Amino acid sequence: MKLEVSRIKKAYGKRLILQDISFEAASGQSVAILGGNGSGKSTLLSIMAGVLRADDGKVLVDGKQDPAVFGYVPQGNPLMEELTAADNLSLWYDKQTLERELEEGVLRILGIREFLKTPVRKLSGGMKKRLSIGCCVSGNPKILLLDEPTAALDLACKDQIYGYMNSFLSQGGIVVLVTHDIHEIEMCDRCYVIQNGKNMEYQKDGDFHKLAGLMQ
Amino acid sequence: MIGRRYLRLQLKRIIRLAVGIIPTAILLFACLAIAAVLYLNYGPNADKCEKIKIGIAGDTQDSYLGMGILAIQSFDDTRYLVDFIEMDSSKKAQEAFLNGEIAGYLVIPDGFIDSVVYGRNDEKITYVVSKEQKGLAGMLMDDLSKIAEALIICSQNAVYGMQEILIENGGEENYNNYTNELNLKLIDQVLSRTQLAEVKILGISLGLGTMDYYFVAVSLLFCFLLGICGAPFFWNRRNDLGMLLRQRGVRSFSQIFSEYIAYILFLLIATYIPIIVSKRIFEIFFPRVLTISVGDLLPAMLPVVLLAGAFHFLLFEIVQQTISSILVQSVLVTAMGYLSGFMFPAYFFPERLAEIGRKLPTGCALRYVSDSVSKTDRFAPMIGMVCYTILFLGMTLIIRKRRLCGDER
Repeated sequence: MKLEVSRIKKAYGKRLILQDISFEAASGQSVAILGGNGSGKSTLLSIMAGVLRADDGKVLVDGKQDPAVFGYVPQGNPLMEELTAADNLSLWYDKQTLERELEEGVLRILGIREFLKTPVRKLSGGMKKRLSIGCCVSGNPKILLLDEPTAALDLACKDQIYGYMNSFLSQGGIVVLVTHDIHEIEMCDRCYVIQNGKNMEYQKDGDFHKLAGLMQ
Repeated sequence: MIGRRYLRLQLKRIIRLAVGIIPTAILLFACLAIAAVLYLNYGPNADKCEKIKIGIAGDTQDSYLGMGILAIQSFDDTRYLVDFIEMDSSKKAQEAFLNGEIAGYLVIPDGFIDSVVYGRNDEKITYVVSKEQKGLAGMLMDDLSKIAEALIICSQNAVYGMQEILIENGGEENYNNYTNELNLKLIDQVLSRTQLAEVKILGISLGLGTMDYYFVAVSLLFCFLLGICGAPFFWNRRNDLGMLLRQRGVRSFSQIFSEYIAYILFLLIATYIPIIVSKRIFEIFFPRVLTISVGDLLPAMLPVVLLAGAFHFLLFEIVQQTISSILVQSVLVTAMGYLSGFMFPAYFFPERLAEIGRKLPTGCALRYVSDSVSKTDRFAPMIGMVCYTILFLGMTLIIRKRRLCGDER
């Protein structure tokens, strides 16, 4: 499987956010997208997921446009607070699939069963994020688009999410990750920095002062 | 498939939220009902304060003019609404008017009687109201002054005319008897009108009695204000959920449709239950005060609920912040309700304001429900309500689309 993002362009009104974003990734690879606040990282992910329409450019998977292969995890939690975790999951999974995933699939890896009957408003931030990921990856996506999935989470929770990412990658998936976390940057195979609407590949050399300078 | 599940979960959400929302709704309705009862019992429309004081100044010493005034005060239907107070002079009347002791005054010029008797009609009764007084009192003053002027002139013309005929034809011995008899006939026939006061003043209310009118108005105000109680339904909506639904093929229209259906269900329950309960309470404590039936009112409220729901959707889509959305809604609904006649019948507002009030969503709703309950033609307000509902939902859809598709981070 091959992901090709080529010459993506997007403007909000007169403000050009992305003007020439291109990169590629193959099965089992993870890509980190970096950039300052408002640089267009989340916009790029939304375009890849098919939520937003690019003004120009293409997102191809094996040479075809197919938004259905993407599992998109937005920055916030796409959950209904008044309902239980099980209710929220029931929006995205049919009954049999939900049972199966809880027993042996992604929902088991994310440890969701322990709070299945709890209303979302009573869950911790980490639990909500795990549940969000669980909801977003329904339908067996081939490419995961994660928008700051571990922001403000504790180490145990991060570990569970990394565990799931590794499992996903080992099954031949592709992960595109928007992050500000140094550890996550280190984890990824490749790293791109968005600056002035364009992306450049950052060669990981451990010099994070240089990286921070790029994002200003 | 996901769209159908989303609808099911929205219904589940509203049922969960209803446990907390319904008591708030009942509390809101109780507050409105208490306010309405207090207003009707102790407000400016209460019996003891209801009469409007109108001064009469000038040549009031004439016996027949005095008789005319007495007749109006004693026998005319306006006696339930107006106190005519004889003033010593127009200057005194003006002072009383400026001090707010009277709502306006009539000035009967010197020589007025002679002018009437000899058919010159060159002296006119003038009535004075302030320009600012274009509300309830002003409207009543205009009408009542005209009534008084017409009745006094009619009775004088008749009495003096008859006396002239008697004198010219040698009937002086029966002068007093005939005069008294004519006065009684005048009182009986000329002054026993009911139509004018009932239609224009007591019949304030689009074909409904006063209490019926206010019951309908409070029900409508409550329905429009219910968005405050329903706010938790809107607070926890997240852009992320909308975006994810979009990604899975559930477009903005389907999202709004599912949420709207669920919200309307809540609005129906939260509107109907307090109306049924309060109507029953009214019947127990104030028998025969309300003449409208719940069977007529509830079906008439259905399009109002659809309209109010669309209105709430639009407001909460525009104003996302919790406190702001509640404040905006309270102020907007109160202002719209006031203009449309929820507090004072719009008939008493200046024509331009009343026209605006009638064309607002609240005005259309009031007219529709009143027409439905009084079983008159309700086509025009119905069209207005349908247009507003479609407009509000259409705007909600546009804003939702912009929010989800143009969500810049």
